[in-house]
Amino acid sequence: MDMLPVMIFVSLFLGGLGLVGVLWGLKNGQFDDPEGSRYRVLFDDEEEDRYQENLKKQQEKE
Amino acid sequence: MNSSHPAKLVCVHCQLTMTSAEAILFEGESFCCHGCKGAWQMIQAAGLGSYYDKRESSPERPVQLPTSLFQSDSKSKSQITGEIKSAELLISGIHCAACVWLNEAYLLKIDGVISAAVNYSNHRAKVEWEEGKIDLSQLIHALASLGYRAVVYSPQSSEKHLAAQRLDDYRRFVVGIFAMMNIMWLSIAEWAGYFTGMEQNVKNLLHLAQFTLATPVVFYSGLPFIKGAWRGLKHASLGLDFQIAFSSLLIWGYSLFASVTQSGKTYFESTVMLITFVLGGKFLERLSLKNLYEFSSHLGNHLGGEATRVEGKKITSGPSEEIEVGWILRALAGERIMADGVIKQGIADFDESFLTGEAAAKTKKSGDEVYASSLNLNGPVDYLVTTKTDQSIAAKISQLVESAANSKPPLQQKADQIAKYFVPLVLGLALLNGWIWGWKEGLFEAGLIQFIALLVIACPCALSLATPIAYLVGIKEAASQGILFRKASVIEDLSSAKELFLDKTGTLTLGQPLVQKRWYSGIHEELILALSAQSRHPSARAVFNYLQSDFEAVTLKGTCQEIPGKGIFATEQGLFLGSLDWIKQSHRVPPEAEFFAQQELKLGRSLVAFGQGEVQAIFSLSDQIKPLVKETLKELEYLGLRPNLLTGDSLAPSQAVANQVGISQVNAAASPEEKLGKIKAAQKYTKVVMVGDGINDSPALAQADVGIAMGEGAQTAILASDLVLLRGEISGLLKARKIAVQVGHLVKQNLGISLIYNSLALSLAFLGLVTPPIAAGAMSLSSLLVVINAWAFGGRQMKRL
Repeated sequence: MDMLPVMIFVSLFLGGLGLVGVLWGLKNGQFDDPEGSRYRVLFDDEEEDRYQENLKKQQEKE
Repeated sequence: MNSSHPAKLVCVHCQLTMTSAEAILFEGESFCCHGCKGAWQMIQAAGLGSYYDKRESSPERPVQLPTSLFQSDSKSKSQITGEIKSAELLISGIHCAACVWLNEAYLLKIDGVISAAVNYSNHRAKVEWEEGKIDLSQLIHALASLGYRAVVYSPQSSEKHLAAQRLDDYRRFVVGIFAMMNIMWLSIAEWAGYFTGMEQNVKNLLHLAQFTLATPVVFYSGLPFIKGAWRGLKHASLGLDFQIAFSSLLIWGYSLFASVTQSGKTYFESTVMLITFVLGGKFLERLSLKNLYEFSSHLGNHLGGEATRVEGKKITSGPSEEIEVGWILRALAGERIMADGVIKQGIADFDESFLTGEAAAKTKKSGDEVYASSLNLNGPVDYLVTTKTDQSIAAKISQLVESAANSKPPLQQKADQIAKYFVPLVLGLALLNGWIWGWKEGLFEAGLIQFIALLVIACPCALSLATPIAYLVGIKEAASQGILFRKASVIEDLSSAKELFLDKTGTLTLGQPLVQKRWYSGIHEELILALSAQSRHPSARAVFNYLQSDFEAVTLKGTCQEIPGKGIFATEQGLFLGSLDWIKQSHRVPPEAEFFAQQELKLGRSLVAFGQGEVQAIFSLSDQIKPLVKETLKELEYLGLRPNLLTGDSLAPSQAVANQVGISQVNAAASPEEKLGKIKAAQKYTKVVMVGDGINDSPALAQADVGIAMGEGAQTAILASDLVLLRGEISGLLKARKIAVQVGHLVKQNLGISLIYNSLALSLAFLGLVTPPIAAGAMSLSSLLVVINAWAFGGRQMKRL
C-alpha cells in the first residue's frame, strides 16, 4: 500500500509532462499546418548538394 | 499568330501546349515565354530542379512586377525586431506540396533570409530576414519571377482576435480533457472502495490526487464561465455560464470541505466533466467562424494587385486601392480587370466566371462594360474606371458572403436561451429540496447534501450530450464516405429542408463543352483539326479533342487570325472556323446544314461551323451531364427535397439540361443577387439547400441553410459552404440527406432517454432516495446510455445506408 501514493503522483507527473508538451506545441505553432508537414517529410535534402555543385561551377567560371 | 507546323510542344515550366514556332528553345528544353525560361533557370541554378519531379500540378506563368511598386517598406506592415525583420505574406499560385517546398527552399537560399515557413493549408508564409542584406520588395520580386504572387498579409484585427481566442479555448479544453481522463480512474478506484470498504488514509490520498486535477480545471479551464457568470450577475441575468460556474464552484468547494473534514463523498469528477463537455461544444462553434474569415481573405486576394494607368503617352502603375474614378487603365492579355468600367479601346474575350459562374468567355469591345476581377483572355484593352475597386460588383459579392454567413444564428444562442429558463428552475428545485430535507432532519449538512444531490442529478449532461453525440456519430460516418459537415447545425437543417437549388455548370454538368453531334458535307477533318489547334477557346478545344484521336493535322499555309468571340481563319487558304452566326455572314448555308442547326439549337446546344466557300461542317456542342444525376435527383425528390435549377446561364441550354435530369423548376439567367433573392423567398416557408461551385454562387451558398460546394469546384466556394462533397458527385448529397435524417431519429431517441432519466431522477431526489454519490453515478450512467445508443446502434444503422 505504501507504493500507492508514489505511483499515483508519478503517473500524474508523467501525464502532466505530456500535457505541458502539447501546450508548448500549441504555443509554438506545431499544430498550425498538419497537412504541409505530412508532405514536407517526403522531400529530402539532396538539393543542397546540387546547389553546392552549382556554386562551385560558377566560381570556377569566374 | 504564325502558323507553320502544328506539332505540339509543352512548356517545361508551366505545361502550356504550343506550336514549335512559338516555343523558345534553351538547353534542350522548350519554353512558352521568357518568364518561364527565367523561372526554370532560377530553379536550376538554386539546385532545386527536382521540383519538376515532385510537383503534381503546373504553376502559373511568371509575372513581371512593375518596378515602381514596393519601393519602400513603409507601405508594407512589417514589424521591426532589432536587426531582424519579419512579415507574413499571402502567396497565390500554390497548387501542391511541391510549390510549398519550392517557395521555402528558394527563399532560404537567398542571402539574408533567416527563416521561411509556408503554410500548406492557408498559403501564408512567415519570413524573417536580416535588414540591410535584403529587403521585402526583393523577396516579393524573387517569388514573382518564380511564378508566385506574394502580397503582404495583414489580417483584420477581428480575425487575429478570433484566432487568439480559439487557441485560448483549445488550451483550456486540452487541460480539461487531460484532467477528465485521469480523474476517471481515480474515481473508479474510490467507487470500488465505497462498496468494498477502504481505509481512510487511502481515501485521503485519492482525494488529494483528485483535488490536484480538478482545481486547475475549475479555475483555469472554467475561468470563462466564472467571468461570464460574474458579468451575468451584474446585469441580473442567469445564463448557462452561471449554472456551470455556480455548480462547478459549489461542487468543488463542497468536495474540498468533505475531503478536509473527512466526512462523506467528494464530487471532483463531476465538476471536471461538466466544464470539459461544455468547453468542447464551444470550441466547435469557434472553428466554424474561422472558415468564414479565411474565405473572405481569399476573395480579397482577387481584387488586390497593381493596375496599369494610361495618361496620354505616359504609362504608370500602382496598387488597386489608389484607383480613382475617371482613370484610364490598361489590361493586357492574361491580366485581371482591377475596377468596374467601360472599354474605351480594344476588343477581347473575358472570363467572367467569378461573376456569372459560366465558363464560356464573353467578348467585349469599345463601349461595353467590364467588371473588376474578370480575366482578360486575349488582346490588350483600355478601360475607363466608373467605380472604385472596393465598391465594385466583385467586392460587393464578397461583402454579401460575409453578411449572409454572419446572419445565421449560432447554435450557442439557442442553447443559452433555453438555459435561461432551465438554470433558475433547477436551482430553485435544488434549493427547495435542500430546504425541505434540511428542515425535516434539522441539520444544515443534510440539507446541503440534498441540495447538491439534486443539482448533480439534474445536471443536464445527458440532455446536453444527447444532440451533440448523435451529430458526432453522423459527422464521423459521413466523413468516412467523403461528406464533410462544417457545422453540426447543418445536419438539422439538411434533414428538414424541402427545397433544393442546383447550379448548372459544374454541378449537374461537367463544365467542359463536348462535341455531341456533327454534320459534314465533305471530308475536311485534317484541315479543321489544324485550324482548331490554333485557338485556345473552349469550343475550339472541344472540336480539337473530338478529332485529335482519329486524324493527323496538316500544315496550314500562311497565317491564322483569331477574332475574339467569333472564330479563327486561315487567310491564304480561306478557311474559317467559328460560331455559326459569324460564319453565316460570309458563307452560304446549305439547307441540310440549316436544318441540322435548327434541330440542335432547339436542344439548347451551341454550334461551331467550318466554312470554305460555303458551310461544310457543323459541330454541335453541349456540356455533359454528370453520371447518376437523374437517379439521385429522383430519389431526393422522393425523400421530400424538391430540386430547382438556379443558374446564370441563358434559358435554352438550362431548359435542355433540366429536361435531361428531370427538373421541372427552372430559374435561368439569374444574377448573384437574384439567386440570393430566390433563396430568401424559399426560406420563408422551409429550410433551403443550395448546391453550386462557382464563386458567384458564394452569396447564395452562404444564405442557404445548407450551402454545398462540389469538391472539384473553386476553392473559395468550398470554404464558404456548410457541406463539402469531396467526391464531387451529387449522389453524395443523397447520402448526406439520409445520414441527416438518421441523425434526427437518433437525437429524438437520445432526448427521450435523457428526459425519462431526468424526470425519474428528479422525483427520486425529492423523495430523498438519492445521496450525492448515487446522483453522480446515475448522471454518469445516463450519459453513458446516450453515448452507447448513439455509437453502437445509430452508427451501425448509418453504415447500412
